[in-house]
Amino acid sequence: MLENKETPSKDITRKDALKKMGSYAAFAALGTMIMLNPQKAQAQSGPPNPGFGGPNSNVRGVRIDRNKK
Amino acid sequence: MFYLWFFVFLTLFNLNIQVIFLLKPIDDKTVLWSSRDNQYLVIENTTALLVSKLSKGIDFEDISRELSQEMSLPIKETTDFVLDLKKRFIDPGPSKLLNKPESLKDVVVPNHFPVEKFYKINELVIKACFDSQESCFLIHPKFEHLEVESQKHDYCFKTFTQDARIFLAVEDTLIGSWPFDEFHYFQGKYSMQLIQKIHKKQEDKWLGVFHASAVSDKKNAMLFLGDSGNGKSTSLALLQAHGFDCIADDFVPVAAHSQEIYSFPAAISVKKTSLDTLLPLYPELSDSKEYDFKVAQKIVRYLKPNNSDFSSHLPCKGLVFIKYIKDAPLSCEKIDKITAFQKLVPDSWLSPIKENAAIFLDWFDSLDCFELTYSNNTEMVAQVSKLFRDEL
Repeated sequence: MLENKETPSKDITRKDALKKMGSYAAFAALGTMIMLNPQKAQAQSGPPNPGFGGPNSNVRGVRIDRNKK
Repeated sequence: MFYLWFFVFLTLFNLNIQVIFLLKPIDDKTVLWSSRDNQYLVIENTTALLVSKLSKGIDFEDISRELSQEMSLPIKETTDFVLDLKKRFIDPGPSKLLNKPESLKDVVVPNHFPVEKFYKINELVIKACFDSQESCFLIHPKFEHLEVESQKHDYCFKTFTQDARIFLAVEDTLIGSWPFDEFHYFQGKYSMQLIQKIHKKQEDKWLGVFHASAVSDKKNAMLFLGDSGNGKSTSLALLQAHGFDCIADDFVPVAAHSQEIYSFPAAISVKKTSLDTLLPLYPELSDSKEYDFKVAQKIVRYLKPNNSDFSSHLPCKGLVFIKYIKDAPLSCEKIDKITAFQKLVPDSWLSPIKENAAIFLDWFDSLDCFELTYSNNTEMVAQVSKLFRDEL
């Protein structure tokens, strides 16, 4: 049978508990960091993998010249 | 609450390497730049103060005790935290940037190039040599509108492949080599070399290069940023059809000394999905060559920029994070700088030189940042006009 034990209230008041929680929340926030790494070199956007020059190089980009008769 | 209103240059000696931190308060946070990895960290102002103290050699126990009293927390908790900071910032492992530079000394630049192109950029003539049509294909489409007949040139750019790598030489100096799957870095370095010649500024004179589109009202410029497919290039084409000038597409260089946006002469890439929108404004697109990047499932045509003065440079009025969403109502609002910073940095090349990093942080802090969502082109153009006129 479970006994209904009351938590002793003499250790900490509600106000103190809230204050402590606030301190811990502020302290936890100090460890929050957002790490941002710029590109390692200048880059241009393009197709992600054109297969340029590789063994299966038929996957590279193709120029379609619509002006050619 | 502690605020650092000025840059603090902090130096520490670790493994005989000088590491420099810059601290810059932006909005209610501090951005910390570390020279070790050219890395930016967004941290709380109090954390910035702790890092600052650690860097000055103040004993971690004193710092922990002070923090414990300030925050009414057990000393053990604060000591663990301060030790973590010490480990991260003061006693880190070897830098990722300390890799040895590639050796190019055994590479011989070929004498013969089967493909040659000449590009005229203002009065500058560039001879571009390629060892194959494939390597030419990596560069030529974006610069085809600048092509001229064979003539006396100022600089010769040579592109060739050896051992599954792409090499770039300017005149007879080897600039670098890249594995095939990193060809976008080859294209970036090619463009970087071009702007150095066009604007007569070496790499250390540039603050950064932004993955954006830049338009101007002839007095100021604005950067349009966003993920691929958000409509940067399409909005640039729309804006240049309505009286704005195209300064740069995809590769936007900013100079360190003036923090001005400099012109880059590449053509605007127009995706097949944008053709219906742009054909009424640019009938010439119907006959222009189409490039099919099969793996990316991306078919593009290139549109000549309306700005023929590729020496132009203008101050930046703001950053606009643009997003085309079908049927979305127009919305344009100022966004907080930390949010904008998080979107901007990972997509940009930023100079690793400390003076330039300091200028970048100051420059960024001075800019207004907006988020613009649209579906109606006329409304978008009208909204951008308002932004240029400060009428948000």
